[in-house]
Amino acid sequence: MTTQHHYPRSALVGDYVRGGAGLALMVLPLVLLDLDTIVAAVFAVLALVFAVHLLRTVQRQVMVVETGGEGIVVRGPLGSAIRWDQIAGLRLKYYSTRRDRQQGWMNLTLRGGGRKLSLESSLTGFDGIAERAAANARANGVALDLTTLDNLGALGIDPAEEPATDTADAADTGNDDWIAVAKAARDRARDGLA
Amino acid sequence: MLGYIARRIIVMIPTVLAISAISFIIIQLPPGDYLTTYINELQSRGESVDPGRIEFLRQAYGLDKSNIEQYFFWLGNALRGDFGYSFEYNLPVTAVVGDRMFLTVLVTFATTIFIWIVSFPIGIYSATHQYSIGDYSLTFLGFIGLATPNFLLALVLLYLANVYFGTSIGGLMDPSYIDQPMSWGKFLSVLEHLWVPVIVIGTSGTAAMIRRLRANLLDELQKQYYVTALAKGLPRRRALFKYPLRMALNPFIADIGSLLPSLISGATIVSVVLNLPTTGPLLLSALQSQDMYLAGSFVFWLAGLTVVGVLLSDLALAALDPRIRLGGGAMR
Repeated sequence: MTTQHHYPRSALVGDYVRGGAGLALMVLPLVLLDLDTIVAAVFAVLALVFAVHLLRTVQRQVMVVETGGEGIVVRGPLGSAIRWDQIAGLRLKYYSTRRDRQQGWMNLTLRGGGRKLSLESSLTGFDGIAERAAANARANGVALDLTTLDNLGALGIDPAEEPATDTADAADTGNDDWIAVAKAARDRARDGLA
Repeated sequence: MLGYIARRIIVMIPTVLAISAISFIIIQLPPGDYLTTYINELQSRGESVDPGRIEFLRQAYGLDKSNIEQYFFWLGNALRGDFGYSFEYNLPVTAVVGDRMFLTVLVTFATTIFIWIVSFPIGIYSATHQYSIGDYSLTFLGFIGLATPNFLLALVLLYLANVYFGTSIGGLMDPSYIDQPMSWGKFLSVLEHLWVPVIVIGTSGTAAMIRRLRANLLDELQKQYYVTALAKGLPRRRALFKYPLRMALNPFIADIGSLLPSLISGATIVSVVLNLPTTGPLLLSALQSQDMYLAGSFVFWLAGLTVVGVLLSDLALAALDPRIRLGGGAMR
């Protein structure tokens, strides 16, 4: 059975606003003012960063991620596919722009068969995909780094568990508050131990 | 990571704009404007005022416009590399600062390398040999470094350098090389003088860094993953360098945030005592003489470099250690 996942539009609005505003703020001075060479170079680099960020947001909007018994497929521009039994690398990172490290997001990178996939936590069913990928990575004998293990553990995912075959997590609407998700997982684990 | 960079930069933009507005307000704070100060200064010296020049400067810096227009005028000029005019030096701000910037960067860079080279091995040794005689001795030295006033150490080292090595007192080069173009002899003279400010400025920073690295590393060495790695037979040195040390490096990376602003303001008092031709004393003199464009530009650069420094250290930390922290505390 194949399950489809996508990025909800509400999760992409912020990225569009940030990308558009950043690009405008960098390009307008470049066009309207006769900038100092060093300042112009800095503005040009930042404009490029925002332009690529905008393009990636567009890519995420049209992208559809399919998971099934065989593997994971990303349909859309720059699409890719990795079989579960081909996973040769997995990294799960957590980012937050706030000082208290709250309200951040996660980024899952999978490598295998010469291909690379990168998914953000606003994707529907992200935690289910992460759990399944981690279990398959373990089954393939992939060594996970300390950061990834910490982040998986914070989500209540044990990579030693058997690969799941069910994709019920696809109904998940994509939760942005990963600190809350992780704390809930930790509490569940504590309750289980007690 | 690109998404993080874009989000982090977009957060930074309003901060930089707010900084520029505050810097402009500081420039505007003294009564009158640059030209009234300039005219008063000329009149107090009994010199005549050229109305044509005054009118030219008034238009050049938009002083005949409203405050908000003046702000955007100043900001636009700053983006073009024109930060105004220093009436104390009778030169554009960039020309006043330009000569000193290279020497300031040299001193700051050398000091940072000194701090890292000294504190890194000592911090590791103190953490891995906790409560040993070596740890106590180095900790004691660290406390002395923290407690000794920099200007006092500067005076002692100036005396020793002069008596034992014949190095001229003060400055970053022999007086005969001042205002001369760069040459091999001048470069060697700078190196001969450089070690005094590097040790003086670096000592307190070294002591603080040793304490932070030791504390961080001790925390990591008590964690389960390290104990498990040792229990599984991983050699102690390999286990140390592969995981705990990398995690304990955060203060070194976080220090980049304070490194950039110290390029301008770093160790001002020491620079005055040692008569260093760096930007610190220039900032102090600009503030004392109300040289508003020069002082305002310094404030703008200081705050701007702080923001850029924090951005760089945040990006480096995000790249090296993108872990979730359930405690919700700051990562340093």
